[in-house]
Amino acid sequence: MEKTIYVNRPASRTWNRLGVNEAAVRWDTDAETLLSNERFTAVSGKNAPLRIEAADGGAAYGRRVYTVTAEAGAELTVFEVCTAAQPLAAELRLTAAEGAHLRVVQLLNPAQGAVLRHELSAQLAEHAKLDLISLQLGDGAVYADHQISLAGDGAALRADLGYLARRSDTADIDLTVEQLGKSTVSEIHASGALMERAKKVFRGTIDFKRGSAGSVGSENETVLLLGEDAENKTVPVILCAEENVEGSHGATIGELDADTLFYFASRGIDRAAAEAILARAAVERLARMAEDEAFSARALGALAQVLCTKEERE
Amino acid sequence: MAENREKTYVADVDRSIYDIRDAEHDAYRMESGLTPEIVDKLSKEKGDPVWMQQFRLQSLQIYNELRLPDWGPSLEGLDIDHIATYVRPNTKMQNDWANVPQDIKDTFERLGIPQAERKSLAGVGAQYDSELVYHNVRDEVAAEGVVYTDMESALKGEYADMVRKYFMKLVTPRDHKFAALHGAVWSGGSFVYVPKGVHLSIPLQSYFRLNAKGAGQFEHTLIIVDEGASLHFIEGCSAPKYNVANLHAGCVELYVKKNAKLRYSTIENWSKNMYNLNTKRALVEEGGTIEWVSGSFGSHVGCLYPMSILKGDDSRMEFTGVTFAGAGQDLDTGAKVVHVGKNTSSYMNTRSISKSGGVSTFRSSVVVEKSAKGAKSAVSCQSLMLDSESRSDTIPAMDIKTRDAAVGHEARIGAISNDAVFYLMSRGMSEEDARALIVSGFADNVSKELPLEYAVEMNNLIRLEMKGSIG
Repeated sequence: MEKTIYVNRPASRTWNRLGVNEAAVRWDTDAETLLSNERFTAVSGKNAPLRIEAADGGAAYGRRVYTVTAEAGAELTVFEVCTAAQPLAAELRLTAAEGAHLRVVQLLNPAQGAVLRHELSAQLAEHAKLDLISLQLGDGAVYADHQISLAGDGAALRADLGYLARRSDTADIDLTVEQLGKSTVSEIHASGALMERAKKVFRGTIDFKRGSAGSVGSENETVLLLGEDAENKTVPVILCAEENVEGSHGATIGELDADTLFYFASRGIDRAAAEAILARAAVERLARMAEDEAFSARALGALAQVLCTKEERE
Repeated sequence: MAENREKTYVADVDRSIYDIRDAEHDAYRMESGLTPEIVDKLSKEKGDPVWMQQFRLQSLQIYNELRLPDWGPSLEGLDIDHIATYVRPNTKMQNDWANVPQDIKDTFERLGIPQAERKSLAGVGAQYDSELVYHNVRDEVAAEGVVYTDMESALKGEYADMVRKYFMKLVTPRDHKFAALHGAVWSGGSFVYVPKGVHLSIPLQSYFRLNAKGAGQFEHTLIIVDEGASLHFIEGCSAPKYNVANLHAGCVELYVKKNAKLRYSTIENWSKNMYNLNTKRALVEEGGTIEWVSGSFGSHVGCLYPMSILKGDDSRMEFTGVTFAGAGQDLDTGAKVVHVGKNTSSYMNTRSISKSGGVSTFRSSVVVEKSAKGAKSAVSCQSLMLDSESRSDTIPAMDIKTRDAAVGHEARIGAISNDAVFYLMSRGMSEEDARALIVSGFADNVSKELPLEYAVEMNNLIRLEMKGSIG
């Protein structure tokens, strides 16, 4: 039987009435079934890309778990596409040994009305690096929880998160990066657009632990609000227990500003067209950053599906 | 002779001016704890009207129903069973300092209040433990129709209906557990009414002093600035340090009417055994402005987030704050704003400093309702970590429900630049002075918004806190 479970709990809580301390999801824990549990290892040097297709397989409340271990000095790109017409939970566990470089390029794409939960956890050793490109597109609800630990000195994260939510979609994102090692670096960029009645929560936390001297963390988010009934919640948190660090975050939320509209208008592009261009832009930029034709095609296909009208869909 | 110095020089003396304890010659001290009997007794002791007696008991019921917050600093060390909620000093309220008992008067003299009144204030209220001991307003200000009196007089006198209309309507006892506590045991505080079109060019000030060990202070401040009027209200507070917890759970309700303006400035310097769980809120009508200026230096634990509800179109708020958390302090401060009216604007500009194991948290909330078309909000917060024993957290939240809004947020955490320290030392400063100067400069967003005397006091508080920060 479905009951309410709570996911995407950030490292720090705030006023409960804001509704950002967790996400409530209807889920049948008893019916949850492990559909797959796969392990991959990348050896030192450049490895062939790993492609993960996580689908519901026709089962409701399925769980798929993928564990990727990058040995010292390994280089690996993981393309992960999660699609779900039924409630699905997917988990990607990453471990990067000294000097390993992981790229994760991810598309979270539930079908209309479906719930997709995704958990990513990463442990990075000395001078290991994770580049995360995550796209959330679809007609359902996506709950993405990214927990990244920069444990080793010099470990680094760059995260680029993009989303486009329309109709009554929900995009609920939590990203926490713990900076434990010395001279670690985190750089988080989130951008997206909310159309119609879409709702989005983004909790981004940079957590400088004691001992992370010389570390730097930055986070910024740009949200384009395009729907009359859209709602955006942004919680950019910095937790700091170390003196010698630099942390910063910024957020810009709203509709297109007058200068941008004027720029488009002077080129004969009206407001609606300008909004559509910019709503696509954040997603297309990330799709191109994937540097993979097959992934880009999937992402752009999902984008087109989100943007198509009801009539076109039918 | 510290006692004879002008307020401008107060901060040149050491912290002992805040830490001096007067012997307790209370006329009445309520037993510790919180029961219906105690609340009823308090109400009778104060001669409340019937509606207030009932209000207190209802608030107590709500207090017992509500849970402690599951976020923010730990309140484990606070045991309400060991807090005396009402301590009446051994004097009635006076309007002449000469009639205030000598020891209490001396305390306020050391704090510079009578001097400041003579020099630069339109009126002063001085509360000692649970009751006001002095209240006075200049004749020329009263002649303009400005009402500045203690809450008890307002509750029973000619403003009784106005008090009843506004009292705890903005911050209701259901708001949170300590608002309910306040509703049950409030005592003291000030009532201010500024009539339509009246502009006070010099501020009013209330000063709250808690002398009694293991006691709570629950003053209520209710200010109504009517249409087109303006006011600057200053609030100061301090207490001597004890080895048991003291509690401050005051409540400030501000009503800013159409095209009115209110600046509310606070220099909070409670002793470091104090739990400061104060609630402040402003309701701003069309074209109105609320400005908060806040310096938080004292308290063991502080939770303070002045809230502004921008109800009227074109209303605005500005919050300027600095928080300095030293050894043994966990100060969770910030601000909240709700945009309701069209074309409303808000700006928060804060600095926080943590040192010697202190924990400083900036917490904010910006809510833009669907009705708030054209709303603009900007939040800027900067934090300085002076050592790795301390913590500095930034926890802002934004909830935007209309597309027609522009909301910006920026935050930065870092340490003092070694280059800047080196530059100042190369010009003959000691390292301690160099660091203190940099910290004072870091906090100048607040000091430049304060009247000169208070800015000097604030900078000297920073200097006091920075003493011994090297080595």
